[in-house]
Amino acid sequence: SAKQMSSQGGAKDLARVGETIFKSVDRFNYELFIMTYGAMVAQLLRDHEDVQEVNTRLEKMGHNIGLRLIEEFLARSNLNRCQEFKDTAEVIAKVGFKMFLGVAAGVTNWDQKKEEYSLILDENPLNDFVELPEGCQHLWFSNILCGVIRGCLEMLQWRVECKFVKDVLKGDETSEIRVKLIEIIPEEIPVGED
Amino acid sequence: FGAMRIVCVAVVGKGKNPLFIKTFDSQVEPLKFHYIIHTSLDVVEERTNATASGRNLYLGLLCPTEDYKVYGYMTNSKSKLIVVVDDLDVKEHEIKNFFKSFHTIFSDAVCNPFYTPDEKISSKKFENEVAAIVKQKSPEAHNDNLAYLSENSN
Repeated sequence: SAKQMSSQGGAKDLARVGETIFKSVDRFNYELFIMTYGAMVAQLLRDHEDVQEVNTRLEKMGHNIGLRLIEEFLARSNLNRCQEFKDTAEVIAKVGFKMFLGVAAGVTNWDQKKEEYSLILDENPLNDFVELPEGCQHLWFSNILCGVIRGCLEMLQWRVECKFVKDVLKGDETSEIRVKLIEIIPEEIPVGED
Repeated sequence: FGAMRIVCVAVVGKGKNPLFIKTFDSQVEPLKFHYIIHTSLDVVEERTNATASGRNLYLGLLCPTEDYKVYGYMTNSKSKLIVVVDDLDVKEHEIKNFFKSFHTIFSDAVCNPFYTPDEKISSKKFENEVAAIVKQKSPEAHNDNLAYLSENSN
């Protein structure tokens, strides 16, 4: 079972876990989901002139989702808790992305200290049908994903900075999210204990 | 042989507003095709007013002109797809298949959250995809210049 596999299990094992959960979950029409997301981004762009503001709002929304989604993820995946930050990479890429977006991501570009990595999205269903309009070169269309990752990791006591550095919608070959560990969030000591 | 030659494709909105026109014959003035398409829209109106229910999306040959045959297709949302063909011997099932692909590509373009329906389609991706299916169905249409070059090099 997934629990018997340590969460430090190789990418292949994790990919299998992601695949299994993905197949077992009830599906609903994915076109409706991606069109809902697209409609939301388009509406945000109409509401806010500043594209950076839209990026920020998408990230904030994602953060709110991530704080909650982590419970769902942990319940379904039944994986052991990641002991070290570096273990989160493949879990997010192979299990998280597969479960929720239907497509696993790749992990590359580690820094020396193993505190920073890139998630490579060869496919991003949110991008289906989308073409960025003029004047939106600075929009990170799927920025909600960065917020989701940040929110999830925050609930596991890791404060990260998460941002897109490449996006196929901008003409790049792949989409790439950079995840950087800022600090380990100390557990709150309950009042009354020292 | 016998591949048909598509010389022009168009998307027309709910009224008679052209949303997209692309011509594939550089030797003909594009305006000529615009005129042909506009004329064919009258025929579309006649045909689609006549039948009440159970209408096929594929409308068939709209109007033969001197040099061309114009085929039409209207979606249930009243968007119209027009294809102008330069060929004496056109196989109907090939036109129908073309319209199916054309309809799919059109529907994908409409799903772009940044596109407003019934407005002009400015998507490069749409233009390229349309050009690709035209090339697929009528390789001759794109070989004008190439044929000329290879003849001269022989």
